[in-house]
Amino acid sequence: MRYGMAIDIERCVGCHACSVACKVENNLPDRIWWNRVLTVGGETMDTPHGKFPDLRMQFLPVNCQHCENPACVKACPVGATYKREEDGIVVQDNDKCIGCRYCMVACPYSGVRQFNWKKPEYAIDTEMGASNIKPHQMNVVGKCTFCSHRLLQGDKPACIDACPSLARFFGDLDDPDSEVSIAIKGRNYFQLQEGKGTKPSIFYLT
Amino acid sequence: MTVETNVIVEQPIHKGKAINVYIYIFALLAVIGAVSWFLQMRDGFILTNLSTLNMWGLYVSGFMIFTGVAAGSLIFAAIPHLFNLEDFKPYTRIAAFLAAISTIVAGLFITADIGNPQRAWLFITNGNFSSPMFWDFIVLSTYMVLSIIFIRQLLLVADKKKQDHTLKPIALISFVAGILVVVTSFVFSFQVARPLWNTPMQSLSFLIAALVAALAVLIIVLTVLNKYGYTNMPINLLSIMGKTAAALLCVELILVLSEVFIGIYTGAGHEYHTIQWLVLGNGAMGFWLQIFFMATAVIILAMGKSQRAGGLLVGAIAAIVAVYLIKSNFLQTELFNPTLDLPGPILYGDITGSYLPSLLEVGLAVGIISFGICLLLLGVRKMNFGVSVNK
Amino acid sequence: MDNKDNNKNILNTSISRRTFVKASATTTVAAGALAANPWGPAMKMIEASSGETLDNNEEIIVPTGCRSNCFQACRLYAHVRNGKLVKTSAAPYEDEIYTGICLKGLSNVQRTYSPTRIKYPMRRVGERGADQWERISWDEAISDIGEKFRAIQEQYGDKALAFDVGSGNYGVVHGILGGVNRLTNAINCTRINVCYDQATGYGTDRVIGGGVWFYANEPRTMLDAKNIIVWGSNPVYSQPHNWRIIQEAKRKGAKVITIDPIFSATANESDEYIQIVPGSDVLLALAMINYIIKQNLIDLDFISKRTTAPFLIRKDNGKILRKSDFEADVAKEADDYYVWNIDTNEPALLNSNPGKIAIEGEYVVEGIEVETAFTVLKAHVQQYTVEQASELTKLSTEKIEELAKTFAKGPTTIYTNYGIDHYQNGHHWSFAAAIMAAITGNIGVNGAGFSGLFAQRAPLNYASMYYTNGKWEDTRIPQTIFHEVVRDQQLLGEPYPIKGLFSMCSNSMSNWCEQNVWFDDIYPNIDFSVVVDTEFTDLARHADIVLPAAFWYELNELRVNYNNPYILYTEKIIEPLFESKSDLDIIYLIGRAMGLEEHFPEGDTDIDWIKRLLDNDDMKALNITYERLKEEKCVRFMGTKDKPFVRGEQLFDTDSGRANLYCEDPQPRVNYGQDLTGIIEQERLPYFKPPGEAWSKNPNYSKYPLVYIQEHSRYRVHSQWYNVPLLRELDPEPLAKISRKDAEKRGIKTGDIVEVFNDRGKVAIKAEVNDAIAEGVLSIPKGWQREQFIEGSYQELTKTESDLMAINFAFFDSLVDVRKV
Repeated sequence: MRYGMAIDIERCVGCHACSVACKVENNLPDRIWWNRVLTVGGETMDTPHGKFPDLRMQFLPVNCQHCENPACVKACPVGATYKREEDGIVVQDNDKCIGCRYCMVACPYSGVRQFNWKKPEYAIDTEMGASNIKPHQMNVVGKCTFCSHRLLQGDKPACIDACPSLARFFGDLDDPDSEVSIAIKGRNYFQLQEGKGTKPSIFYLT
Repeated sequence: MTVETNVIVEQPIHKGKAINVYIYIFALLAVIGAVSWFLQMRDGFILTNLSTLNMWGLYVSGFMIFTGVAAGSLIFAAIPHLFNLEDFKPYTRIAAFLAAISTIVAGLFITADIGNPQRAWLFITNGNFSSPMFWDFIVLSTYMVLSIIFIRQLLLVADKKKQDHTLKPIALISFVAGILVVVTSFVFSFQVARPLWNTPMQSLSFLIAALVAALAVLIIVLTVLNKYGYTNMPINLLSIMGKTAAALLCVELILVLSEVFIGIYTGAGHEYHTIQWLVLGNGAMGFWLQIFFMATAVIILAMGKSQRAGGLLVGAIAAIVAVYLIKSNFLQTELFNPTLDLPGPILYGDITGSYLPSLLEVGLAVGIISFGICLLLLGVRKMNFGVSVNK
Repeated sequence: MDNKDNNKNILNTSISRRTFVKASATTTVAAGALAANPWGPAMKMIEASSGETLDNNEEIIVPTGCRSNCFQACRLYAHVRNGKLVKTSAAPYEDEIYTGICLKGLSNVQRTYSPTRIKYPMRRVGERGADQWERISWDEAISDIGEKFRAIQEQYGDKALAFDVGSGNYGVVHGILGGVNRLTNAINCTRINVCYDQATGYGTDRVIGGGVWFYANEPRTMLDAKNIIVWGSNPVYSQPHNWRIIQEAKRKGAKVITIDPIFSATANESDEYIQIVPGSDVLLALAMINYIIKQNLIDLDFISKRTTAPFLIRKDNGKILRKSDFEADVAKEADDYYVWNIDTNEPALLNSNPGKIAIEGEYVVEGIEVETAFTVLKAHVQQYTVEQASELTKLSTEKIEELAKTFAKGPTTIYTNYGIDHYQNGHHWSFAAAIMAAITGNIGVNGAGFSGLFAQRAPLNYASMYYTNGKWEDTRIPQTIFHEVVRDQQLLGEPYPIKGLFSMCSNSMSNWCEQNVWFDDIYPNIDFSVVVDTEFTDLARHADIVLPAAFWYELNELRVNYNNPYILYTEKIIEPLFESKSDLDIIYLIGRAMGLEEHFPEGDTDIDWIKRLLDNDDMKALNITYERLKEEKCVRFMGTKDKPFVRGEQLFDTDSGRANLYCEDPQPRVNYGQDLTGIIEQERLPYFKPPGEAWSKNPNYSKYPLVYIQEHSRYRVHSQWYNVPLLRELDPEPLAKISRKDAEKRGIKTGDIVEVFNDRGKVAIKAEVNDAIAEGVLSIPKGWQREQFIEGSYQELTKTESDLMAINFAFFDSLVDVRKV
């Protein structure tokens, strides 16, 4: 089994619902975002490129790509990040992470691996999201987990269900009948940083 | 004691109490470092000026430099014994000792850089053999072992307890190990995510930087120890070291300038923007300082002035500063110019595209280096680096 | 494709291991969804690996909703653990096309437990606006309010107390539609008339009736449109679920065209983007009508059967010729309209079912000269040539003609909200657009008409809620002139003291035009102001007493037909935080403090009101009862998935049941005595006049050459969500968006601090050079509070001047300039 995602760029309007769903679900500390929506267009967020009125912008939601050939897994000196055999999820073990940040250096998808630079602070004084997420620790790296805590219960990752444009798909890439395989079938797609050879498991449909 | 030998004998001229004062001073500075480290562990890396985009800074630069000093010192200690350069043989002890100290300092730098050093034992129990950082751990451990063995052997030879030729094996192993500092460049050059690092040039550049750093530090140490009478290395030998460093810096300069010209030529694209950042943008200060210090070091070390001890010292200091700048620019240029740099929500700490270490980082770095100096001085006080007798 | 979407939405309900509450059984929808597990073999439950645990803290999931005025009315699940809300997720509607959630709804946890949430009643100490407060008890607050309110009314008259209610909490029990009406009616205070977002509906009302709010089709009907023209709205930001429907229509082959002064996020996703000069939309519509008529692109059959085209307009007084013109004592219900029978060449009454009737022509009936309404319309639009429109709107003549042809072919839906409404000439556009839709047969049919805000009245028992002692007299103080009345304590020369202000679900100081009138005119002249809110908004910070309001999940409510044809019962999830109370409870407390115990008895709850509102024959006939809503939580009110609601499918909500191509008797939306000489007759047909200020020929233009738009952002609904921590991480600060050319002219770069200014005020703000902004326009996204700006506020720059018929804030009808500081 090999979990993967498909994100339909034609549908995505860059609304950040997936980012917020992830933040709430995983009770991410202040200023930590495991899913970020980037703008392909102008120099700042939500600006297009081109000359008025011939303008264009698109959006790229980027989270950990759970690669087939992950650079981070090779790089981690103590094996705190590893790719799970049974489902292909690249796991980050908070309890083993020594905080050297080499995985962040190795990862070509800048920003998907986030470091907890201080003791986790939370804007509100009650917890958000699921109760069975791994607690956040200071001085370690955190990233998208494909909501493995939700997969345990037969649910999909929080970002998938949250998308108002129905642009996100998830499932077993090895199963031709899964939602993600059906979404990709017959569509053009690209992957991020394809030339780097990391073989990400996220397909951007165009 | 004058004995007919085939070894140059240097008599220590003057051994005073001054060294004790310096040991205390550097120990105090080391304490500042310890306090900084404690604060960093308690309150988190937020106290540094690192960010999610630029996650490696002063500590990693320090690690690179001192790994290089260790490697270069081993090479410097090995070469005279491998190639029978009699003139340099008396000074290999201090080089081997410096290698040991530098290894400790490098180890401390990398310990300072990791968020959970209390889990460092995982390197031993859970080491990932495909990780270049794990290889660094192996390399550094090897340097530690080798430098201890080498210094011990050299001291035995100096006390006439062993023959000179018995040094050949350890010298050869040390020499090869020193060259294998190239392995420490793999941490960077093996990462496809970092195109500026992902080139074979880094292997050469790391080797050069290691040799230059080692030579520069050795020149500084020997010049100072000469002044206080703990050693008596002739100026002409020191200046050969200086000239070697100058030549190596010239090679490095060629590498640096090639990188700049290659990047600028296309006029557009990711590499061009990166080099633009380096030469004209937020990286400009670091870059032009690097060029300045490299040029200064080359000029001083290569020319006549280097015949005087003061000139050599200045040149060596310029050289070590240049090496620091080479390393920090190497890190920051790539980290501030990732290949995926589309605008998006603000990343933690990513406010401007430039990096200066915070006061805490500087304090911790000064502390670590001071600790190393402290150990060096203790060793100098204890051991005999100035006299070599062969009955 | 449909199958996949089905899967996705049903999956929103899959909650396998957790418990559905409440005291009732699970919803019918959920039961059905759980039975049909679309994941099947593809999605295996994975085994727990080290460190992973099953969710063993019991989590309760309660269906509820989001209640802002964003026009989406999402149905949500609230996840509760240990008595605390921990997250929200989308809950399904029976018609899955309405199922969804947005980033704001997902952040409601942080809004509920906001670190700056108002906890206790507070009284101002120190100067107004110094933002210094002392905590007081509810008893003290309420008795003080009751005392002062009564004193004001005794001393100055009932109307000296003004109630200002807005859109902060949408439901039928709390908020603007709820219990507050019972109080305002009982004490006969001034109910300040809402003046935002009125113009669009005011214009369409002249053609298809329905009042200001009921002009649109159910959003699902857009799936049957061939063309969707997004005109004066930005659904990608503001109505993400309606946008999903438009996107689906696009995939089915609809062409989506966006007409907007700036390159909006919706323009980015559309098949075509058409730039237009701000405030010139009405001229475009009129020119299109002219072209459509000239090129005979009209739908003759529709015009003849479903519009007032054949009605005969008297040339002498502009009225429609009726049976009652010739016969005395004709009751209104028995009256009829005259048309011209072509076969007999004689006038005939409409109800006599004459055969072929004239659409065009001038006739004489019993000596009265008449012409058909269509003739009047046609003659009127002659002056709006495509060339003239092209010159002023900056669309090419080819583009205008192409647009007209596309529109006419149909079925065409105009997707709009209140972008054009925000200019003083806004209602003329919607008036013209509705006429254009009527003459091309693009209204009242599937896939055609208007979309945007879809609402529909349900016959709830409002009378029982609103009627009390019969004391209330109609008040006509619109928000647009409120500051003048307070400043002068006069209305049009007659004394009209206003001394007290009560604001609920409203952030008027931040959201009404020309913020400085609050400092200059309002606050110096009122004695006492009370604000009810969950956060210290601009308005709250300047009050005398602030009362903590309970947030949406802390009360019971009914949401009715808001953007979808469902009635939603949203139950209380958690207890009100700290000492906050629901809007209804606060109204009741004040009612009792003002001596009205009989109308505001102790022990009355919001659930009692929900029961009462549903308790009448009309609702029972529809089988929509409290028991059913308590059980099912969400009940469909009208239409079906296969037959979604089309406005005016049989008859339009007009006197004749037909769409008016001519408005016989235009009345101002609010008549407070304003001078309408010479205006009424003009308003019978839409006409072009330039915006009040935002026009290149306006005298202010030489000083302030940028049209000031306050685009609506996806991060806020007006000012709601303005300080939610995680949203502020995504959108940290206000920005002035400037076009590249205008920025270059002024030496401004992204990140510079600039001052945006005009005669009415200024604001210091960070600039962003944004290619999406057209030259001559400047945009500051709406909703930021004063404390979030470097200095001043973006709302200082707008203007309260309003069209005398529409009586509507014209937020975008304003000019500014910007300079680097």
